[in-house]
Amino acid sequence: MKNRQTKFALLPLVAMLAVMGSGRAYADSAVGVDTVLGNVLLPGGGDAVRGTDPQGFSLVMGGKGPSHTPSGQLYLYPMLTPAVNATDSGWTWSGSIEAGYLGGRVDTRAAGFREYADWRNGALLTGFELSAERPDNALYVDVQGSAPGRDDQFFRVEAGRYNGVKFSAFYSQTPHVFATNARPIWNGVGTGSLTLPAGLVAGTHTQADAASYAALQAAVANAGETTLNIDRKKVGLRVDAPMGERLNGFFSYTNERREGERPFGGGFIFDFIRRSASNPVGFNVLGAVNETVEPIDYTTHEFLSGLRYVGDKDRLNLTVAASLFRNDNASLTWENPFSINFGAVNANASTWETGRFALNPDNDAYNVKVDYARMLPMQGQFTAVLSTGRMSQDERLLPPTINDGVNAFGVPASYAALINGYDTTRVLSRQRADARIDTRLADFGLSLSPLQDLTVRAKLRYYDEDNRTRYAAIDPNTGIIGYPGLDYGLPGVFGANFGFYNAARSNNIHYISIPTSYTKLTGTLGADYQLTRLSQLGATFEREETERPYREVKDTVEDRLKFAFNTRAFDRSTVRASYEYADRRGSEYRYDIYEQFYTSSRDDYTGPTPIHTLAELRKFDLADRRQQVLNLRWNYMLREDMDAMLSMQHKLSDYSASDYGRIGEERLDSLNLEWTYVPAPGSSFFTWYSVQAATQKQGNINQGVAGTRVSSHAGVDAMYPLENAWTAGMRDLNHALGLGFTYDFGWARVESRYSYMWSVSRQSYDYVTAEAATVGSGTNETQSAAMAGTEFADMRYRQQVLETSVLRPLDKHSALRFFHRWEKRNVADWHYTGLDGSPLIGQKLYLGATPEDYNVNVFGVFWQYSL
Amino acid sequence: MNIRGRVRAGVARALTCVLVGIAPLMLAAGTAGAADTGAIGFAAGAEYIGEERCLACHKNENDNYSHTTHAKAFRLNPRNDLERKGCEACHGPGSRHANENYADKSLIVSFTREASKPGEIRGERGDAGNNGPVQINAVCLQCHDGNQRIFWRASAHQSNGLACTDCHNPMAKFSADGLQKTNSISETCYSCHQQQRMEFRKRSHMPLPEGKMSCADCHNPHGSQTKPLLKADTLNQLCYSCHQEKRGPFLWEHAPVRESCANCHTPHGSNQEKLLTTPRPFLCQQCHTHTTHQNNLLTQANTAGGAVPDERVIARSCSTCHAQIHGSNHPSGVRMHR
Repeated sequence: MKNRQTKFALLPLVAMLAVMGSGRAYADSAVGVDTVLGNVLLPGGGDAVRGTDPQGFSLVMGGKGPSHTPSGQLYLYPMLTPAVNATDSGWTWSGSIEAGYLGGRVDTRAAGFREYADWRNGALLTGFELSAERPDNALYVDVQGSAPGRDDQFFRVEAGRYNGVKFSAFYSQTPHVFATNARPIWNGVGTGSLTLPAGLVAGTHTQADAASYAALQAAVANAGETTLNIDRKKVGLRVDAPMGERLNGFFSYTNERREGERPFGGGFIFDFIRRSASNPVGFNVLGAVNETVEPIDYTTHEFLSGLRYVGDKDRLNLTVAASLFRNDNASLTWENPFSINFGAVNANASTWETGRFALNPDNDAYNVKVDYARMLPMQGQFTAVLSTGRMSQDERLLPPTINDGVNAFGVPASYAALINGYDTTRVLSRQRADARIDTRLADFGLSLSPLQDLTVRAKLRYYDEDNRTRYAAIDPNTGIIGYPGLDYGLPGVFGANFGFYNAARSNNIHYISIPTSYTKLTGTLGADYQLTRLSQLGATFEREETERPYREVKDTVEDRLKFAFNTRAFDRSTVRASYEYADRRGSEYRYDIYEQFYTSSRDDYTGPTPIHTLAELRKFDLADRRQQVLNLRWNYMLREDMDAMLSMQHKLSDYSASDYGRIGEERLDSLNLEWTYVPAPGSSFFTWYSVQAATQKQGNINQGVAGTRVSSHAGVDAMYPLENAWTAGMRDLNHALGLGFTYDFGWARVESRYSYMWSVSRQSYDYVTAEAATVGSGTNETQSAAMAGTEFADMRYRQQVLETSVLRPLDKHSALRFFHRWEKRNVADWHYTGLDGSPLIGQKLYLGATPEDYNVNVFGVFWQYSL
Repeated sequence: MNIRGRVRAGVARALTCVLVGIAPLMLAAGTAGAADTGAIGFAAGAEYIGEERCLACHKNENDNYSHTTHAKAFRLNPRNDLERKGCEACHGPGSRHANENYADKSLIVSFTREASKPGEIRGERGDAGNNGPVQINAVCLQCHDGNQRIFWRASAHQSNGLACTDCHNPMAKFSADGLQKTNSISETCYSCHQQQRMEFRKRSHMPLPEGKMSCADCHNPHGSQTKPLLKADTLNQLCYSCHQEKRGPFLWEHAPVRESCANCHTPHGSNQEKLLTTPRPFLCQQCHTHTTHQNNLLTQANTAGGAVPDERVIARSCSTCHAQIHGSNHPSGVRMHR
């Protein structure tokens, strides 16, 4: 645990604005999150007890069928309105409640079923709502909530005056279950210190010693299943206050706690390295790889305040935001069970007992933003946005390692002595992070209609992110450059050249932080032309220039040309279509751009010209790319009480200019169909179907292993022989189906919904020679073609949910609801294939948190009562 | 001067040009009408008749409408004369509708598809000119201009011809908030964005189907200064709204992470873990091919149950060792190991 020194530098300012100063603690579509308070049984929040009004929309002219939105989609029939009760005090009120019992095979431990919902057996208050108002002075109070005591509960209170000041508060909890079948062997899960159980000694267990390995195997076998999850608990307050007809202000504060734990990593050194085909799981040449558990103990304070002005011609929004993140765990320390051995049997063993992570640091973020709009003649509008922000953290740094020195084969004693003693912050070039990123945004927009049927639009946007963080790994006392990577694992195993700039100044290490920054300038010109009264054609040209001083491509330019068309000219249809063509290209590809942060850029460097990477690889976020996106949406009113919709997207991203990296054509095609039928109030039927297919391709070259180089890749060096080139491709296919109905049989209303999701993702690969599938440098392993194969087992996901409610009215105020939900999931993921048996593989120790199938039936009986 | 300086200078020049160019328009704004009231057409000669007259026929509508925010505000604490008009604040003066032909909805302002049928020339025979989204939106913006909708004009939804009543139904309370046309924000969005509905059902997804988030947590459907209608200056700043721990900044940054979360994650759903676009280690290998272990082809033989199990494939894959992939604050964390 660390000291929690929350800095509330902006508190006086936001408080002042609050005093000066529409919306709620939630549900502001312009700023902030928390726009919905709900859970799996009440996804939209609101009233759990409301049926459909049997009288429909209107009784005028003997009633009429449902209406359609302007685009041609059916409106729902309205819900029954709650009965309003009067009191002598002048207050009126209404309310409802639904409570009951949930049971069945609900306590399944499958993480997927419980990921974001609490389905535990037991009593359940599904929802309640109480509304009261005093019409003579327009005061009101509204209270809602659901699932008290459960991990997905929520509550909200709102009070105020209609069209006046409004106070609101909420509490919402969200579970996030990662795994229920994890089997960590450590004590202290959920804390910042993971220690091995009794009987195990850190840094000693190795396959080279059957007895010590057996002890570890026994500990793994005895480890109990543990649930790894994070609970988000958020409370919020907000006040909205109109200050005259044109000005209003708001202030909100939210406090979110995140508590729990999640699967995490923890490596000391490769375990795959140096193994041989005859000894594929490694023996005598052993590393240490741990999947650990990260403690989550976060608190975030968010302050949001603003003023909003709406004048005849001018509109202005001023928003001030502060976000203060605090992590109660500065570090995670764990005991490593493995002895690392890179030599002969029982020789050259290294015993790093402990590793330590620096966990996410406390950080602050502030932002001030002004949005302005001014109405202009010709139905015009000018908009401007000015925004400035800062993200910063000044965490006290940890020592470069928790271990006191290098203790391994391959490090000369004299040098080992020199680089020992990095378990103190005295070797740091500074004691605190002093990290900061400043952001600036200026955005100007103009739209005008110089002709009755023509609207022109222009936009200019400038965004700059300036990283002010500078850090160099130099001991100020000795001038030694470097750090003991992997808690001495790197210099210990591979020699001092890995991590420390050597005495001969001949090795290349990364020792200065890279201040990743970028500047983006976007200009847009567009026009919309009214072809007819009901049809519009639009065209937009946009150029986006990005400068990234410390990326492989310094300057990229992307031109986008988009055409859009929409029409309501057909009697029963609305069609919206768009096509965009984009071309991104960049300046020279600087594959060695990071050299300036490496010792090879120093004047005293004496080593060979370093090879950073395969020069022909193009990182996909910067690579030259041509992209086409076609969108189509078609609404069709089949009948007065029936509508249909078709939508599709075709997206093609062409990386043909890249030889390696993401290559070729990346495709994403989606087709969606929907049908809705609303024959009468209380009755509706729907179905929808979506299919989506995606492909992606990539290429790379396995670098040559010493002694096996066959040829040089043109323009580079012999490290990347073309014979070792390989490609891989992903094909993703998804089908989703939904259908359901609501029908009032008189004696009961039945509502049932079914959804089916089926996905398969296939990862295949191809190579010229089996050497491409050789595990890399320094190894003796070569996979044969038969061993390597050509693809992974399909990654599959199938989920079916059938949810049915039967509502049986008892009297005017009450009803019984019988609830059933069947949910079935099957998932297969090759990342976890084989981990079910034992999470200990060689000197790799995993949590065994494999994704699980489940088949669950949930039953509930609930009593509804309208007060 | 580096390009950053040139860009700033360019922006300054561009801004100057823009401001100089539109200065006459800004000065002439005195002639501009408030909101888009000019787009609202009323039936010629129609007069306001008061809400009581409307309710004489529209009892059922009133039963539903009375529980909406609009009704409460207009009836209990109206802010201005427009709100005091009740039904006619939105539907316009109702005398001709009430007196001449109550079946003819063209004599009042109407908000549905049925009221703006194509093929009929509206507004030229003295009716209310129900021409669809233009008029509908103008009516709503009489009160709702500015605030969260300051960027409505020229936004993606506005320029695609959407009307406020494509998403909202102010005549009854269907949703807990916002007078949505369905019972939730997300269901309302899905009614057009069906692709996203499917994507949110994939193996890894944000908790929208479970009711713990809505589309409006990330997007402002009423317009924003970004093309995807984001509620923050950039995608990453939006993601930091919930994932503040990823904000850093860190001593050692991972460049593509700092620039765009979407380089590795797809926000609406993925068949991979953690909303990843591509399975690890292949995702990492689309950028990393340094001369150690990064560019080796990993195969099915390297799975935990394969012939040669390899930590670069199993479980968290590369992130087992490079655990702090979003950035490291450890003095020895240059490779995101610590």
